[in-house]
Amino acid sequence: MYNCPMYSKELLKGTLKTIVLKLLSEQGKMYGYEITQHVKSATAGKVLLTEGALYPTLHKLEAEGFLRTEKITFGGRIRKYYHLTDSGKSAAITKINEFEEFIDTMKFIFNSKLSIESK
Amino acid sequence: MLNENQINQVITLLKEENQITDAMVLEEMIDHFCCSIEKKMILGISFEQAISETSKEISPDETQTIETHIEKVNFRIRLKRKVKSISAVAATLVLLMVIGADAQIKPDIPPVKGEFNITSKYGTKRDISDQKMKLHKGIDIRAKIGTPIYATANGKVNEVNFSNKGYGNKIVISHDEIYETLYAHLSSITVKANDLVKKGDLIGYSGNTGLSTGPHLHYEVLKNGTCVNPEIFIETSDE
Ligand SMILES: [Zn+2]
Repeated sequence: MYNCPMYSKELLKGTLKTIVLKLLSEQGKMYGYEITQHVKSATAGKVLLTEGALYPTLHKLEAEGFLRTEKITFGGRIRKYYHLTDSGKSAAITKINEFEEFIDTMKFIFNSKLSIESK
Repeated sequence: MLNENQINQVITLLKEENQITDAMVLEEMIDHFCCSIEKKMILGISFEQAISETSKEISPDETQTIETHIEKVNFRIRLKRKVKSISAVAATLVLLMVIGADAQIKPDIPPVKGEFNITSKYGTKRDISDQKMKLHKGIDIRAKIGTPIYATANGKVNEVNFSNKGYGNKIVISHDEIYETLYAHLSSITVKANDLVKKGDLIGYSGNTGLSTGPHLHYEVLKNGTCVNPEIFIETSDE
């Protein structure tokens, strides 16, 4: 699903929804291409979000009621913006908290492991 | 910003190379591809090069993955809605009734039974007598005198007119606010003004009255007061 030059697919799997929810809670509204570019520049190219991974995730989140869409005619074509719904906003908070906690736990495990090894 | 011609090239690429069929996916991919192309063009390369690079970066496999996944998601939503909501079933029934009613007031059957031949189509043709271009407002159906003629939709007889000029003996039926049908050159008429008729009801018999060069039925369909090609409706009913 991911084309990742730095991190393995396995490592990133399952974080895509969280990334999308997090971005939208910060940016308000975004369209597909904008999301791929934002992720690319924010992670200095370490996470490359493919279209084949992003768009199905967006539609899944929309189907779950977390996102709503808005279409804007833009220079002869239609641009579809994604926004968080109210339940999307609370899902974003839950997912982000869960993920931060997960990172802390991982750090704890790895740091303590490292300290054991260094002894 | 890409111009119309360039956007059309993107659309062609997505339809033909990437084989996208879903309208919603297509719409979203058009914008995505255009954005990618525009970004490359800002960096100084030509449109042709930018579209070819973008097309390599986002392969048909990639867009197929998108389409398949999104179709799956949408299929699940539809299924969920069907199962969950009884009111959706009710709404569907209402919709079917509306569609059903609509089908009754659309003149989508031929005015004669069985096989028929159109001897003169709808549209412009040169008038033999004065050499001017004239619009043929309806279609001519070959019919020997006395062929039964039927109402092509539910409606009310608006006009019955006996004459030996122009349309000859004719009937005009109003179907609703939108459609009217006209049957001309009849030999006899079995309905009168203000009669209510149903689709397929006998209304008269074909003839050769008025300005007619031989026995036939001249049949017109008017939509919002303007004549339209009657064949369009007859054809679509075959589907
Ligand atoms: Zn005619």
